[in-house]
Amino acid sequence: MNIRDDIDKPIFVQIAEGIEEAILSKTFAEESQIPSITEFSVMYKINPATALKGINILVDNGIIYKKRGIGMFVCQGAVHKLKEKRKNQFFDNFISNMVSEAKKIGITKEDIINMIKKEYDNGKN
Amino acid sequence: MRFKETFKYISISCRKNLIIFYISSLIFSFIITLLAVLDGEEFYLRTDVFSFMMVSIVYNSSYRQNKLMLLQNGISRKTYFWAELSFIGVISVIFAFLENIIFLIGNLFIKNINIQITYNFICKIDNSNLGVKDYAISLLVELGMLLLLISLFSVLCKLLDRFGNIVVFIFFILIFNAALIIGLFGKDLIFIGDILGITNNKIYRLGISTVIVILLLNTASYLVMRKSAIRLSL
Amino acid sequence: MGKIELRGISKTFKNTVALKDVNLTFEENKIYGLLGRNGAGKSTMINIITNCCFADVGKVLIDGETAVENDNALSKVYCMSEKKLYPYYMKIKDIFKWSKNFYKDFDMEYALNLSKDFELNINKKVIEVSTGQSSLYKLIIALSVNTPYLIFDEPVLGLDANNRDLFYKKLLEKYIKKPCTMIISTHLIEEVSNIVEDIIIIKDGIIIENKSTEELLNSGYTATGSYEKIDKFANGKNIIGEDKIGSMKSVYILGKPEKVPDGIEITKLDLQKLFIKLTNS
Repeated sequence: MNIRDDIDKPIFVQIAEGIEEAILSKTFAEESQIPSITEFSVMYKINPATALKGINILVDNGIIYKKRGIGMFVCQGAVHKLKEKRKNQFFDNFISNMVSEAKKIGITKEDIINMIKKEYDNGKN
Repeated sequence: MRFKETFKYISISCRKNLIIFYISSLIFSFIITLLAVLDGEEFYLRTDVFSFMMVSIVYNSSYRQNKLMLLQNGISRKTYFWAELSFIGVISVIFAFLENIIFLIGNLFIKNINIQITYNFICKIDNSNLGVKDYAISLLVELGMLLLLISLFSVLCKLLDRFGNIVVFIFFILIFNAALIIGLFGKDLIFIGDILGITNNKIYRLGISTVIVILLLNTASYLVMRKSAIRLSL
Repeated sequence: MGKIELRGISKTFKNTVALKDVNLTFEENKIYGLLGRNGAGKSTMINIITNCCFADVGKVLIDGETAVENDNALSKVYCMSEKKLYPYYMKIKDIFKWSKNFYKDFDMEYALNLSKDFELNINKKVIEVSTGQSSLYKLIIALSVNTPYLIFDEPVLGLDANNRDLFYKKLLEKYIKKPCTMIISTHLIEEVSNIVEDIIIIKDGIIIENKSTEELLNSGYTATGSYEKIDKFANGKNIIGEDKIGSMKSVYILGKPEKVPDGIEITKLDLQKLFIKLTNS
């Protein structure tokens, strides 16, 4: 996870998304403990209030829960929730931009479909 | 009021120098007196004044360092002033007592050493008997004198810089021999000397004028401290 | 609740107005950034809070008590600055001891551990240490003193990159473990912008900004595009500055971006640039 000052997303959003990414890639397993606010704060040199804000987004969305006196854990079913969320955002995040870029530089619909087929069939990710 | 902590700092930070200077002046006084007595002269060099002067120089030249240190640690100038005054008071009492102990010890070797109650460096060895009351008075006079001198030295050092400390030292010596100077410089000064009790040995007048001057000097000292601010570029 | 209040503070040095009618409140357990150019008045303000110099007008209240010549109030504040206030002959470990004498909550063990972490030789005298080491021991004291209010005046002067990094980490650790109010006065905005919760910008003795970092960042945006498009778009808007890069122009605008035409890219406001633009005469 990398926190960067130069990109447009606010730090707390970057924290939230970084944790989401780690959950999706199974770095943080469901029901396992994630680093504390202190650890996030010190590691990325950010105010704990900012780290907390990012964490709270995930708590509100049911991705993380807090166990008093112990720490923060990944909710059961978090992976599924995140996948659903990302599926919903997939069209806006990837498809719209891809199609408008393709139109700009003259790649046809068929070209795109062929490219997608090629990528899916070669090396399954 | 973090008085105790400030007092502790002031006393410990100049403790080493205090001891070195006091012992040095003791040795110095002893040697001079010994030489004088062996020569047949009947005087001895007071230890308290000389050592006190040395101590004053050391103590007051650390005024600026102490001020900065104390301001850094959140101590008000007011607390510094009272802690300093108390410290000086304690040292004066100690020195005055030590001086009298030296007399008593001296009396074991040379019969009937007595002090002449005056504001001078040099005291005549007087063979007449002094009672307890005289010792008590001499103690108070010494105390007053020491406080007076360090108050004067203190306020001057706060106003002047390092070079000024040397000027003050010389000034100190002159003040010390006020009676002599008054005697040398004529009738007008004798008049002032009489009022203050210096030239006519009127103890009560001496006492009162000493106390008043000490109060004035320390008020001046406080005002100088109060006004001082740390400049931005140091 | 505990706080430090500055009410109507003004200070003039000879002919220069150092501070003019400054009104500020520093609340409990928050990290503040005090930003300003050299000579803007940051150090004067800090000197006034810590009783090192006196304001001409106005008052400073620490937890409701006037700070001037008040030992009790002043014992709640510790200030770390580049000023040479410790006796030149004193060893650093003795300075720690005296800090413990004056500040009861000074954690000596923590200070010694920090000295090891920063590789500082505490047997050296004040006069024997380099600029960087000078900053280090003062920082260590500040982090160990445990007063409700901590002021850092240019804390990282002379520190190499490793020590700067370590300092910020230790600062945050301390803040989380033993919360207190911290005021970091600096001109290195990029370094502190993620750490401070609120930012106060001072220019020529006057407070020109006083808001949370987030609000400040959201207070405007950068619009980049061709000269023609930008000039048209920016017309009538609250422009605080611009930069020209070849055939492109970037304009820094206060407010919210609306109806952005094609060919114009909107990015966030760069805090460093915002600071420069706001504090340029």
